[in-house]
Formats: sequence, structure tokens, C-alpha cells
Amino acid sequence: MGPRAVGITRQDLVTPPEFQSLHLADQVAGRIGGADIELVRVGEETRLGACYQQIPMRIMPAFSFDDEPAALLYMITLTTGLMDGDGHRFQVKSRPGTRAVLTGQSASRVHPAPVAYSTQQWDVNVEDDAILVVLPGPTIPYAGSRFYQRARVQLAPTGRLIWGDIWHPGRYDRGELSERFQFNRIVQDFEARRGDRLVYRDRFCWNGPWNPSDVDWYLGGHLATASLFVAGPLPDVMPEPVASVRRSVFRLDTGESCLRWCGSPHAVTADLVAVTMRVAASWTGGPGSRPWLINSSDLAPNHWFSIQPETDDGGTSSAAIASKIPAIPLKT
Amino acid sequence: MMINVRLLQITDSALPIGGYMHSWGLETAIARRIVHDPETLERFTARWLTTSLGPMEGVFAASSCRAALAGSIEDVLSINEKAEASIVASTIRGASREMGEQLVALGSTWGWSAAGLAPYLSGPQGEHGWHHCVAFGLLGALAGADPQTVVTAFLHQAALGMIGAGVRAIPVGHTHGQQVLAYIHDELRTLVDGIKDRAPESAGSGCPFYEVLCDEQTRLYARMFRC
Repeated sequence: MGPRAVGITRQDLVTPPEFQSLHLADQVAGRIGGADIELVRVGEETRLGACYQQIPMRIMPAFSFDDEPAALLYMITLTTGLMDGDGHRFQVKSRPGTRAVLTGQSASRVHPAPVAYSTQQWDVNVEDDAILVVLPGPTIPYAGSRFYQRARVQLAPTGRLIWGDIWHPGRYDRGELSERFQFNRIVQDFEARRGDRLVYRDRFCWNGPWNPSDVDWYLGGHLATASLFVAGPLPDVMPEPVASVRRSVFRLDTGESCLRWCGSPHAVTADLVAVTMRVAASWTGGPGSRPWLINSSDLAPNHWFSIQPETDDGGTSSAAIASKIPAIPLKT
Repeated sequence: MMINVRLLQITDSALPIGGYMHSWGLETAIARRIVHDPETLERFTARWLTTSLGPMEGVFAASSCRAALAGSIEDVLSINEKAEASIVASTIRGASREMGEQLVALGSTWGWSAAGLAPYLSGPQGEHGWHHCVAFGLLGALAGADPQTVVTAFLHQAALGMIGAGVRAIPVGHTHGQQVLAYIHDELRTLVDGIKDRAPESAGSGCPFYEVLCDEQTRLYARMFRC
């Protein structure tokens, strides 16, 4: 991957049929941006290779931690989230032998869209013997928002990927000002191929706002849902979720898997992250290995994926496996 | 108006073969008391049609009919591949393949469809097996029906299957079952108008709780249906 000759423009972004009559921002600066990221293996570490960044997105240098097999790469949004007309595009290439977690610094706030829509679009390539975890962070659709997320994943025969999407109901915990399921429309469009074979699709169009009956149908009356695509083997034994979370594991005939959650935003988020890091660890250290990253002491405890839900008995969550793991210093 | 007897044949109440063994998640909904009488059965069936089956398998049925009418074997196979990759609940995916394979096997014995099916059966589709929605769209095209008629017939047959499962499992009477079917006709027509021309790339449902119900059905203590 070489440096881009030209910047990311709205012509690089796909418009779904559901938003065919709408247009992203004409003004590129700060509105249309993204990153091209190459992950390379140098010795035992995974590092950032060629990289192109365009405002409002910034990529932090890859963090490597002692005794951790994977590097941590943050994507930073310099604005307050996705505004009406914003478009972000990411191209990620995980070269052979790399191990990395790519994540956002916080939840993605999708602002109201009175005129157009906003979008995040991904092209991800996972080469042989690479392991990539992509956790963009929970999506928070504000009242009146329109959002299109698109991802195309290409997997080499021995490439492995975990991709997690978490959908919150909006700004749900603000008392009388809470917005729950007041979005206008959300379109999800995810496809993964291994070689020439399409192995997984997740495509939907949610039309809001939702009333309580809609919430009962789509989410079983819960406030949040999540989906995890696992391109690689699942361990035979998975940690049990707390009782307030409904989690289902769907093994696909291709060897890949999909997991779905319904539950509270905190519990769903914590359980998805716990499962993700445990599965990734099983690939690098074998069954029962310590989960990747989530107890590294240099991660702030208020990070979006370090929030720990209460268990059914009010104690510390068993889903937060990391709580019993010794602190790991940041490598300097 | 001439009735299309070939289309009538593939929508016969005896089809799809094996369909009577499936409840498409309804059994868990009954076990969880989400469905317990004709009114809740009607709501569940209508929701399932309009948010899950219609936007996904319905779009695949209409688009495979359209592709077959255009003579594009490649497009029909591509739609079948999309169906395989999109239906994540393994019980539903398995049922879809079993019923599709049975329908194609049956169609390959009928005088009006055997020759038309032959080119589709000599390709690589056997890797996945035929999904019922795709097989239905293909046979519908061979029956000479248009995509709108085919997807209407497909969804009506599916609704009848769901309601039939409810009649046996709730239970409700056959009279109530037929009333439920009649009550959802308007929603069915509206649904068909919205999906009949959609591209297969847009097919998908996005009903996580329904998928969880389908998964939990496999762990019910006692059950009547396979999915």
C-alpha cells in the first residue's frame, strides 16, 4: 500500500438505495475523511506501515504492551461524531503475521440528519496468518439521524478476523431528555468473503422511530443489541453471559460464526468485548488463554470497552474476565 | 383471467416438503408467552413477514424469478450464495436448504419445469444446496409468472405455514387460523409492493431478537418442531 495520490472524496463513498436521493457534504474539509492503514509485522510486534489520514480521522501509533500478543490501534475522531452529510472511509490491510485490535476512542455519536445522512465505510483485507479485531465502538443514533455503515472484508485462506457492532438506542440515560430509538433510518451492509466465497452477510434497514412494540419485536424489549462476526474457530467453551443478556451463537457452515446479543447497553458491550478478547486469545495462546488487552493497566477504566456491568447479584461481572488479571505495563 | 396452475402447484398446501416440521421460531415465542392466542399469532406472523422473511427471503424470491426470466443462471446462483451467507440461524438455514432441495428435486420430475431446471442443476450450486426462496423464484419463473406474483405466492405460502404451526402448537382453531391469514392480506400486498423490484444486494432483515428466538428453540425442553 503506497500513500494516496489524492484525498478521500465523497465519490469514494457508496450510496445505498435507501438514501439514493440524498447527498453527502459538498464541503470536504472536516466532513469527508478517513484513513488508509497498513499493519505490518516487525519482529514480534505489529506496527503501523504505510498510512494516510484525512481530517476528521486520526490514527494513533500502534501501542504494544509487554506480554500481549496484539497491538492496539486507536482511531480518533476529532469532531463530536458523525454530523449530517459526514462520510468516513477506512481501508485496512493486515499483512501476514500481524495481530491487532483496531478500535475507536469512544462510542460513535450519529447526529440528526435533517437534510442528508452520514456514513462510515470500510474495506478490510486480512492476509494469511494475520489476526485482526475491529471494534468500532457502540453506535449511538440520535433522534432524526440517518446512518449507513458499509463494510467489505476480504479474508485470505488463513486470515482471521473478529468484527463487532454494538447498537445503542440513542442518548438513552438523560432522564426526561432521553432519546430512545428515535432515529430516522439505519442501514447496515456488511459482507465478508474468504477467497471467492461469500461467507457472511449482515444487511438490514431499520426505519425509525420505534415504538415499544417495535422494540419488543426487534430487541425483545431491551435497549441494545450487538453482533459479532468471527472468521476463525470458536472455542468449545464460552464464558456464560449474565442473565440479563440474551446471547446466541450461530455457527455458519463455512467455519465462521456469528453471535447476536440483546440486553442493556453496558451488559451487551461488556459481554461482546469479553467474548472477542477471549476468542482472539484462544487463537494466539490456545484454549483458556488470558484474554487480549482488556486488563492492561494503561487503558483508562472509563474506556468504552472497560465499563463493567453489574452481575445479577449486584457484584462484579463475570463477563469482565479481565478483572482478575494482573496489570500489564505499557512498553516504552 | 386464466389461473396459473403451475404456480398453484408449487404453492400447494402440501408444499414445501418438510415444511410442516418447522415453526420458524414460533415455538419459542409460544414457550415465552409472546404468542398465545389468535391475536398474538396474527401480530407475530405479520411482523415476521414484514421485517424478516419479506425483506430477506422475499427479495431473494423475487430477484431470482427476475434473473431466471432474464436467463441469467449466474445471477440465480449468486442470489443463492447470498441466501446461504445471510441466514445465520442454522436451523432456519438448514430448513431453507432442505425445502429448496426438495422443491428442485420435485420440479425436475415435472414436465413443465424439468427442461428449464436442467441448466441450473449442472452447475456448482450443489456446494450449498438450493435455498427454498431461490428455488421458488426459479420455478415461479418457469411457471411463467412475474416476480410480483411469485413473491406474493411465496409469502402467502410462508404465512400459511407459520399460521399452520400456530394452529397446532398454541393451539387455535382452523377457523381462527384462516381469519388470521385473511387479516394479513393487506399487509402482504403492501409488503410485496415494497420489495418486488428490490435488488438482491439489498436483501436482509436485521431482527436480532427473532434470531435469538430461533436459536433458543433448539434448547426447549420439549418441542414439536425442528426449527
